[in-house]
Amino acid sequence: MDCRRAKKTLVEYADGGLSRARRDETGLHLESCADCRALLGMLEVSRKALDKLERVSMPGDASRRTLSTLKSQSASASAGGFFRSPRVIATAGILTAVLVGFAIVVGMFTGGKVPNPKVSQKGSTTTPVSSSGGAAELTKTSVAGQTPAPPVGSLVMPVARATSNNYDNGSMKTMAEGLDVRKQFAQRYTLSDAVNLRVLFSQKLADQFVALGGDGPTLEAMISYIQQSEPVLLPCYAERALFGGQNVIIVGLSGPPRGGNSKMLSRTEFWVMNPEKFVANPDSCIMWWGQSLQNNSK
Amino acid sequence: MSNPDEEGLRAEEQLLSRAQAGDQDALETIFNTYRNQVFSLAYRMTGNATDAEDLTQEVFLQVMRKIGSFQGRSSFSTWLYRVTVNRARDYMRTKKRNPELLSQDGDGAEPHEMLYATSNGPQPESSAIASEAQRLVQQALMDLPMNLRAPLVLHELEGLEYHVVAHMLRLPVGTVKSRIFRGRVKLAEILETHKEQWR
Repeated sequence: MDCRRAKKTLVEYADGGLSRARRDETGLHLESCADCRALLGMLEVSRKALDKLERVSMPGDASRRTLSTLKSQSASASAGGFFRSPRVIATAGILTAVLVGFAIVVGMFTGGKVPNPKVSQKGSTTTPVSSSGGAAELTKTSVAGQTPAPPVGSLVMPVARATSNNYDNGSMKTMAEGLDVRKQFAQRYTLSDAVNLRVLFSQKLADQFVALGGDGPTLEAMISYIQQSEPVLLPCYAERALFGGQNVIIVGLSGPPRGGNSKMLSRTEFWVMNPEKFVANPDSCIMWWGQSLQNNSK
Repeated sequence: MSNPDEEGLRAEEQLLSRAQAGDQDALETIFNTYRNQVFSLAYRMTGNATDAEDLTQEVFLQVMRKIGSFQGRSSFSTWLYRVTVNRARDYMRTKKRNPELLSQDGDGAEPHEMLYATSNGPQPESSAIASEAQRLVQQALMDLPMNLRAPLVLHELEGLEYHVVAHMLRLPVGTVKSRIFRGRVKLAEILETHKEQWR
């Protein structure tokens, strides 16, 4: 047995969890290897230390506070509880898409007017028509017809940029607050749009990023990493820039506000990540984090 | 014929459905059953009772909102662990970058306000103050980076098997084992400077 193999068994050796044969084999290696013996000593120390920690229980007053908050949130949500279920939202989305698709086909065959839905639908392609003011607005075109149908709605697309900006904490906040696409997402998209569009927008953003000379796969991996902890976030912005003199990728993702009843994506998180560190260890690559809230009340 | 495990699962499913529909009694039962599991993990991940309380609240609010996405492929308890770990990672990242957004405890502040051991059931609050040794070990745990701390806490303190931790953290089992090994060595290095105090 060499050191590399021995290290794989040392934790269980220290904790007494190895079979007799593997224990003997590891023991034999330990007799001849001072480095592994030193590591074993450290594992035994940490075993002793961890044994001192026991499960802790939630203090009574904290339990009462938390339960009271949960009950009040539950009471306010129960009226619409059924409609908040992701399965119900997904089913409703599919039904809407089927109905809208049917209406489009009927409209094409009868020469009637095509409906103008506000939500996005599957089974459509997009064509860029403008790219001003930050967000490029795309016109949707039915794939069913040979002749393009009239516009049936519009999407606000995510925006990618490559700049030489060298941000610090203050200028990041200013940039985030002033970003048009963040405000447009807040007014345009809902929670169910985020569920339906998040994969597509991640790819669109990566494609734009590649066209600007950026590293698209790393950007997609970063978005996926962020979405691990909160899946219902819709990517809206990416920028290749500097932060404190280091190369970074800034990722903006929109989601619903925390703890509220609004389903509009009025909260945008901004993650400033070092791409080189991300490859080695995602947890250590985050250089800045902040969020902006958009007030949609009219 | 159904076995007791299946019956237990069915009862749990019914409880979850009732909670989802806004049944306050069901919600309270779920909270009382799992609050210590969530709080304890949150405490070990954040090292701070105030943050652990906030995190516990966030986890149960998320559970209320997303209970429909729980598909029963893992146990509810495992699902709850995963939600807690994900929220804790998010919370700690946020805190690291924007401490003013969260609790008023600075990174250098005393992180151990209280500890309540549950090995012999609930204890009076006054008698459950953490020992100095426990405080030092928890402090050392907080000095570990999150990618080492999470698998270490889940396996060593919560007692979850390697493959369960791997599934939860979406990592290969080998990576989980390697991180636990590195985490324990690092923990010993940190504690070495205080060995007279904690041993």
